[in-house]
Amino acid sequence: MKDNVIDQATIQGIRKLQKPGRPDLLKELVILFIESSQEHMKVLRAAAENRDLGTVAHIAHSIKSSAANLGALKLSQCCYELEKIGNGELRPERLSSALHQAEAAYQEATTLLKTF
Amino acid sequence: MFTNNEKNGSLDQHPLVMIIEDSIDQSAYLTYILSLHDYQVVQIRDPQKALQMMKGGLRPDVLLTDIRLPQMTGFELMEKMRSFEIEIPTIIISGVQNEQAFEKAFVLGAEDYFVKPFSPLSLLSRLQKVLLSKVPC
Repeated sequence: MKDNVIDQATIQGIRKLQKPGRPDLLKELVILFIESSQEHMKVLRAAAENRDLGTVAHIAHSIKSSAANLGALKLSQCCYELEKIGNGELRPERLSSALHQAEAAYQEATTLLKTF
Repeated sequence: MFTNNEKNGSLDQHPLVMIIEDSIDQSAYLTYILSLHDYQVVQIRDPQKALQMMKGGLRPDVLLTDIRLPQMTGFELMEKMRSFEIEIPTIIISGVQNEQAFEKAFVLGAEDYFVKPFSPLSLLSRLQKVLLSKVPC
């Protein structure tokens, strides 16, 4: 398992919270994440294509946190870069490549998360 | 006015936690975990609205608040709560990670400061300690 894609310590931390006889917490959190992030990724792409840097920063910030909650560190790092581009801390020329990296990291992360 | 926890002098089975967080995803994530652990949760995006609810008499057992919020910051919310003599144990949950913010949280009397992403187990543990410290002897 690639730890940078999904941090196993984070996953173990969530598993420790599981209560007997209750719904599978990890699975529920993965579903919650995938449901919301699918839409967020679409909005992020649209905002990047329209050079709407404020929205890029806002959405990237949101995905950054929710991805990190599930240990999707690579995706979280990619979104952090997008957030910094959106906030003007990094050059806007990097937007397109950063978006591609985030989308690839998103695919990797969700593919792995769905196996839990 | 009684909070959930002080009604019967023991730790309430379903303490009420108010989450003030502008990220719906983050709020949903915390709510899911807290609900699984038998907490009642109120999620609010706007700290102004949260303040109105508290001024109206709502007394959650614990407040979890972000710092960067619409209308006012989490710190401003804590200051306003203090000015209205609303005393609710408050835990900061934020991506802001600098000494200035930690100091401000300490000065304002925050029970703890969790930098995102944080271990949910640590948060649950801290919540329990905060709630136990509120139970009258």
